[in-house]
Amino acid sequence: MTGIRAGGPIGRPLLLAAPASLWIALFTLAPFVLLVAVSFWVSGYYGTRPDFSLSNYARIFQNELYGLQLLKTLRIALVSTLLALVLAYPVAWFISRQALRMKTLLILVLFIPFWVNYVVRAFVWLPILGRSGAINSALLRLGVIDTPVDGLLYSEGAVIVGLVYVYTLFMTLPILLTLERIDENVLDAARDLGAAPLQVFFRVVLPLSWPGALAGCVMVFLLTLSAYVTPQLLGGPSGLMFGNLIASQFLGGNNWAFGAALSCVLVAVALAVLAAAGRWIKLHRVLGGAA
Amino acid sequence: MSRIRDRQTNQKRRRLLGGAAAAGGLAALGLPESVRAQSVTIQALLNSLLMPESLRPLVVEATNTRVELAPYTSVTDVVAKLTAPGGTSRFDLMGTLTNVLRGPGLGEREGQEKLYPLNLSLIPNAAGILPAFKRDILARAGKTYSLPMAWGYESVIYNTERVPAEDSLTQSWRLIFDDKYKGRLAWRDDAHGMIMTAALALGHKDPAKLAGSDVREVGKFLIDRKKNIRTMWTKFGEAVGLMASGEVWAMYGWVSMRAALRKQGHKVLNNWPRESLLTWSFAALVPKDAPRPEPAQRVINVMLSADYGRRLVEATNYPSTSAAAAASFSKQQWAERGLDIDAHGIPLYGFDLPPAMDQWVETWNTVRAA
Amino acid sequence: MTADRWVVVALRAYVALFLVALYAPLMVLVALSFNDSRIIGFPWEGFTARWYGLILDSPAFAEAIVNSALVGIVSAAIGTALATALGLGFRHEFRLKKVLFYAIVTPIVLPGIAGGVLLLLFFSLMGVTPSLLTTVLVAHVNWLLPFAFLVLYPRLSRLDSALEDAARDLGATDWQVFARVIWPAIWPGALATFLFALTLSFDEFIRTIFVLGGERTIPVHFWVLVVEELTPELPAMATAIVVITVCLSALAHAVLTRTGNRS
Repeated sequence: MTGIRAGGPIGRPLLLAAPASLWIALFTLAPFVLLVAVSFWVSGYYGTRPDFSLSNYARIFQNELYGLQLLKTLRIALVSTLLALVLAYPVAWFISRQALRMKTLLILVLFIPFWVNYVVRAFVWLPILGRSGAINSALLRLGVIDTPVDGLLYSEGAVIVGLVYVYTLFMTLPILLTLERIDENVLDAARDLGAAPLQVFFRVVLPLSWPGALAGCVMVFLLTLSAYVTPQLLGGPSGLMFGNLIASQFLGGNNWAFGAALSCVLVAVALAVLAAAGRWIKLHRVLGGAA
Repeated sequence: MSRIRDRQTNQKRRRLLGGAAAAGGLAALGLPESVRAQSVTIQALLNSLLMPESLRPLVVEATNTRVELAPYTSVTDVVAKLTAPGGTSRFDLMGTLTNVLRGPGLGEREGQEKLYPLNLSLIPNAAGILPAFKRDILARAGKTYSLPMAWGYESVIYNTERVPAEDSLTQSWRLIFDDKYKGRLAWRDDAHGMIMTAALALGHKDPAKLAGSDVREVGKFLIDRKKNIRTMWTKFGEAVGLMASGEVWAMYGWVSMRAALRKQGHKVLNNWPRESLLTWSFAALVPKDAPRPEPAQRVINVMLSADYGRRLVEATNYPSTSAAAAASFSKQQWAERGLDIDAHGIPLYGFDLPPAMDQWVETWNTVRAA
Repeated sequence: MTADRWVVVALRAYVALFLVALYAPLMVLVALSFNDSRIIGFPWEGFTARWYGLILDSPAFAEAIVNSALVGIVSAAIGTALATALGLGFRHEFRLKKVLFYAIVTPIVLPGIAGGVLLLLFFSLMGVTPSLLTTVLVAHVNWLLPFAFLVLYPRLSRLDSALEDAARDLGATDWQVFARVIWPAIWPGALATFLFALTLSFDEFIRTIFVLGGERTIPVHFWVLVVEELTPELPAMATAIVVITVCLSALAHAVLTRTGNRS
């Protein structure tokens, strides 16, 4: 690799990036090349055999099912990401302003619900959101409703709530880590200069925490894009996202080749969205810390 | 791996040894004389329900073979591990659904099998397999490749306090499609099962051989009926939870769910759909390049024995394919467990995979998306 | 002035509400673990502690905890180290940086089951025997690396290079700059990242099952238990794990606040 620009923070960026790059090349890119290869294979009743066929991709483009699901999934992913951002940000802000003891305590408090195992989490939704679950029972007892609300569970709304819940830590943590670095003095200075609290927030805090917020959005967006367990558990009869389409090829279908092709399409779309957003927000510039 | 045995296993082992089972039992297991070999350990990947803790001492006693069970997670996982490159030499014994194994296990042509041709002289109990499941013995060109060792069926589990058992609708697959219990039904999120049962409900007699156009018709029917269901389940625990909490009153399900719910006091039965019951079996197989095929086959033989079969039913309610094991229960006991599939005058249909599974999956996804 | 006060009160109330919502499933889990029912879920059938008794009898459970902890700590350590180095490197411009970025985030987009099958195929073709500290470790580091990077990097990018430049000018070697200037500034963030990575590894399941040897991790153990039968002791097991981790965290918290910090 050429084009090293020396100077600035500790030099030899390539040396620093090398170990991780090596790992990625070996264990991420190499399998990914395999994935692309498999997407051209052919699967059938007797299993999967190596081949070079465009039949998988042809099917994806010919049947509107896949395109429609992709759009639906993109929509849900975007909504979930924005919702997660809005919900997590104030929490991250609050925690970052605490004294050290309280801060570490709150961070640990934040982590604990995520140590509830994913297998087990599947069992708790029904008791909370079901027809005879906690929320409905409470609302009934308070007289707010007459009959249980069906839509709390097995609906697209439930899926979004579930996704946001499961991925909330992915959004809170990076924002928290960047907010932490904002010196109280900077804020005081802004206030002394006469800025109203809202102005301080939008002009000082938000821009400084942008990298963290963006990183959180990238994570949550990509995770919700590939989600399939939560939509299946909470989505009800129409709880299908693109990830389910992929999963079903590996489960009942035994159609690894088609599953691989669908996966490649999803990756391509995801990267395209990131690239487009990146151009709009100058992603790598922001993450590049060229402040 | 830990060599520590559970306390419970040790206690049960002592009881077993102390019992009268010793000499006579071994003979009843139908073992050939050559089983005085020294103790061997084999690696197995199969549902631990088919070889529960309480039965493992029996296996050791009978065959001098310890079975080390790798973590079993799903039928798919087993087939994936068998068919992946190098997969035929990782384990000595594997178990998965016969219908899923058939295609990739046997391969398209002779010589493409991923399974070890079984030496039936090591498995004399194979002769005692229930006639209804002899069709699930995978064989080709005179060689046997897998044997069904336990079976089950698909039907509708329903709450007898909400859904009357004697109703004509109840004893049909239409129960989970009809408007009558709208909003209180659940399907399984499974292309194979749902399309097959919908096809049966629509009157098709041989759903595994559905024509392409018929599959689309069934898809349209399912899309239309989707409005009647509350949700679809994928896992056992999910399904049982749905019935237990009262969220649904009738759902596509397994007899093991009926057993679990009844044990907890819920008044639940499975129906006997007049269109057909869908039966399936678990196959025991030895992968083609297994390091220890002989002891593996002897273990299969034990699993097919009357004694093992009887204990298996008692421990897990999974019925073994051993005819002798079934015969050791009275008709009433069998019926209590929901295993009397011959006694209701309904046809039994093999829950095989259709050749066009691809299209079924796509149709099902279209149903899900609608 | 009153507006300011309102904002503070509203924020506090919001955070409280947020935490309540966050903890609801855990509370339900704890409740379920005392439910005298063979089926996991409500209705409530009475109070019992016998599920907790059952889990003490299970060496497989203890083994799974040890395995999960082992894989978790090792993979989180490797992942955090790689992410830190990578993050420090990313502060520069270099060719192919954008490509590398996409390469880093791509694994997130692959649904778990596809990723698992792919790794199974990959390792099978390479002839690697599946085991805890080979294939499973790789699968876990793979999984948590992008997240470790994305969590830590924004923090690293905000590091003021003035101190480093000064140290460099005074003749410090790269390692000294790292150990004396950079690390003291980033170690809380790195620790938080490590904890996060550990959490991710602990919960990772679907990719793990395809590359497993004979050992189980906790999620695998749970899964095997619920695969086709009732395991009423499952909520008790999950609660026990949470309790263990809470205790360890309390310990960590005590240690952290004692050693002090300039953040």
